[in-house]
Amino acid sequence: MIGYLIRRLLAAVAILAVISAVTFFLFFALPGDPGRVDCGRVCTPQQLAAIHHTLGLDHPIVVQYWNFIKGIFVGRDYTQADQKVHCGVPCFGYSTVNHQPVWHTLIQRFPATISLALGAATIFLIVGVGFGVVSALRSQTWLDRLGIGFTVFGSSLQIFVVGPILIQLLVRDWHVMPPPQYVPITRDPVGWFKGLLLPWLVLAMVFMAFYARLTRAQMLETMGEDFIRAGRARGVSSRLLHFKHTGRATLSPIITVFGLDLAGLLSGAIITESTFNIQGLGRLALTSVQQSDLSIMMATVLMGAVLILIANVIVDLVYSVIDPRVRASQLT
Amino acid sequence: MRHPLPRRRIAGPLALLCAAVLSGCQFGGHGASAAAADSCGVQSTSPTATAAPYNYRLDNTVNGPVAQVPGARTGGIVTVYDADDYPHLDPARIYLNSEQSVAFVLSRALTQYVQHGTDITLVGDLATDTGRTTDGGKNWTYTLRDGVAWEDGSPITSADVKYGLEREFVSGYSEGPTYFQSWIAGTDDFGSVYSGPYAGKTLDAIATPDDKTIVITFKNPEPDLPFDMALQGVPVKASKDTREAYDQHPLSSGPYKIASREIDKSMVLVRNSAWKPDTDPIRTAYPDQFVFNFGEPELQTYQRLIGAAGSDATAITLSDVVPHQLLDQVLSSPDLLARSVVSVSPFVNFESINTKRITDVRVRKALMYAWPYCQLRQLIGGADTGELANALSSPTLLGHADDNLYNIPPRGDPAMARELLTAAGQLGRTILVPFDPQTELSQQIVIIAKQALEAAGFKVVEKPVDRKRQNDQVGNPSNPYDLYPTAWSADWPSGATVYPPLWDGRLIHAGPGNSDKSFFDDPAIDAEMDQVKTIVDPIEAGKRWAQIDREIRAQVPVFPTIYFRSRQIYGPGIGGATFDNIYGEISLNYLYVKS
Repeated sequence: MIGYLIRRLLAAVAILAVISAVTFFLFFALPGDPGRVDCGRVCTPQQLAAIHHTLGLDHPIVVQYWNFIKGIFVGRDYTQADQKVHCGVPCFGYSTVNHQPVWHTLIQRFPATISLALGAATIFLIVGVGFGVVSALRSQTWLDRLGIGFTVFGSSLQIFVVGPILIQLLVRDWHVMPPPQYVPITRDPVGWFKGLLLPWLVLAMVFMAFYARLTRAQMLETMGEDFIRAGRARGVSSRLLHFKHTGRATLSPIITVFGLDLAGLLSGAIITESTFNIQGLGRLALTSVQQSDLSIMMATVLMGAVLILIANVIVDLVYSVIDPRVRASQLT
Repeated sequence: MRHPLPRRRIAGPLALLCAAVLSGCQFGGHGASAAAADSCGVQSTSPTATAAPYNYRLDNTVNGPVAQVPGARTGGIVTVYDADDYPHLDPARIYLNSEQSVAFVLSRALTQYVQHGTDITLVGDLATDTGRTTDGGKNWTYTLRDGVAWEDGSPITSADVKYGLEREFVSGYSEGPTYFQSWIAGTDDFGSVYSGPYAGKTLDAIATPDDKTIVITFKNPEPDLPFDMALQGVPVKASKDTREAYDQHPLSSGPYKIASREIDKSMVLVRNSAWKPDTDPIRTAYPDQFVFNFGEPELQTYQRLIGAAGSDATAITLSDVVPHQLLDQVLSSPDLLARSVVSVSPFVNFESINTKRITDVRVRKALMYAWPYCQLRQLIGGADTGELANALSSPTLLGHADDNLYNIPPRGDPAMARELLTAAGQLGRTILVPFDPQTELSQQIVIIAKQALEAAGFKVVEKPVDRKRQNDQVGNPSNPYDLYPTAWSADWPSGATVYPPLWDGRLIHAGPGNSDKSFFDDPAIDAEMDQVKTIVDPIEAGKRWAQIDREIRAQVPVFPTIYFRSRQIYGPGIGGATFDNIYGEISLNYLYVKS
């Protein structure tokens, strides 16, 4: 198992190196000069050259990339307002737009994203899987059609369309929902819940259908397996059959997808955060691209990649707990 | 996002139009008018802001406190929603209009504007007057008022003013204006003369004979200094200079101080108990707090302001203007119209013609005659977005004269354009125009402009260019385009901050970054501008700038299109809302929360 983990981690490092290099070099294909952001209205060539020097943009791209990577592991020194400033490990640099250390900005934004992702994931997992189970157990009945129909309807709506409509109707016109906002849970747990309720529901609606359909399909397939029929023939109770034997076999693909979905959400739900004005990592990533803010862009991309890779490893480990066959293959 | 034109934020239709390319914009005055047919023959029924004359003056006799606004009361919280946080609050780095609006209540300057509608008076703020000179503007003396203090209670001294001015030279604070530095150094490359106080050197050109007196000596007469001191004459206390961190939390000298700030998320301003109203002839400071929230798109912000639920009843937006999707709703609602401010923006937008490529003035005139002014205005929102422009300066500029040099029909004159083109022997000439392929409006504008120009005998080739890249490209004298929009606003209401930066041919340099995007280079006009810059009387200077405006237009390196209006609404619980004609957005100064 340890050998397996080491192999996975080494592969993850290689993948991260490739992602970081591709992102970094692609950035320079984007239009716009990051140095212009800091240059005054009448921007003389001397001023622009000085800014490029301060930002390190006067080095070859390969050197800039190396300095960026080095900073993550050993920190970097910057000159700000004629003063040397040390950026500690992990140093993702300074934003050229808000002039804050990138890591500091990421840490500030992460709680909003975690709150949004975990809340929505809880809802879509429970409700989606719940609908799927009910649909499978009541297959071809009105309950099956209603459940799947509802979730498919929800997922066919776009967040950027349904979000503003629900805000207008539920919040502004009918006053039945609190205005969406992010309030730190440590400051006001009730405000945190109320502020995120609408974003959770809208985001969950999009994912729900997939989990319902996946669960339904997996359960129906498993319920047709020989060992289930054999169990039923031997008098095993329906509850045991459905929730232990069928459930366990159904769980594997759901865990796989859930791990990746959750990691994706944790690295930022760009549309949801933008629609509901939640200042999380997704919104940060979007604005970094719009503002040509290389440091923030690199950090958000790398953070997303790290989360997805971690999620993959965790999913694989959980597999081995659920399925002994996987455990055996990992040890080889 | 920060606009590539660094001085001020451009919003609403202007942003759309300027982003879209092939357009021109300006804005229009404060107040209401009855229904009237405008220059495009469109019947306007909404309260509009015509290009009213602005009455400017300098007053050296004004003292605090400010006269009470009728009906105003002290107390309450004003919520401010803005799509973007203000990038800088350090006085040396401030340049955007939203930054200046906030700095107005945080950081006092040597001079400042008192505004009542179109009456705009420059007065002494920290200083007792707007500055004294006896030699045509080479030496200036300021005296600080009694009782002015920092938020820590310590007095604001002449040394603080000197230090604040010296900080403007620090190369790391490159985002701010550079007038003062260039004037002191006598060159735009001021960094080679002085690099700021952090290296331990001071500027001999700024003397502080005592704690209250500042004497500034320039190499040449600089008669616009009183205006510049409203922009750059902000003190900084050396012992409290946290350098980079000062940008997030400057030490207050105004009626409010920063209680909390989360970059890109929120900021809370509370009363600064060290500020004394009787030392301040400009600021009212009625609300107890300003609570800023950032990040919400302007459409959502305006839906909030229209809905006005809960704390939104006492909310405003500082920078966002009514989005075009909601304009009809606002214009058709007496309630919303009653709680809106509308005015001319200090921004001017015009079409720049690349004079390096189009050297024949008849071809440039043909472009101007062929332009579909009304059609494009209709596309971006109609009559409420502004009036058709004749001059290159905004009506907010001192001396602005909206004289119609060419009497071009508002829908263009393709016959005259064709005649000019034929006379120049260039009928069928190809015009290369850039447009932003990611903006639908940009594509629509190109279609309309192309139809109009081709009807006049041009052949238009449109090239998709990303907006960010486009700004760099058209600032390069070797760019391949013929026609593109440029936006500009005055830093203070004087032509000195408009005409020289935009049309002084000596400033043109190789590579990107030129402000003179038409690459207009006329030594006679350069010499005339040098002369006008030495005129001490701003009224007289205004007249001369208007003459230069006319002379530039005669050569058509650019042509103006629309004086844009800026419309903003506020919550029904807000009183005293006025439009700041200098910053081009709602003013924080006279606001109060209704009881």
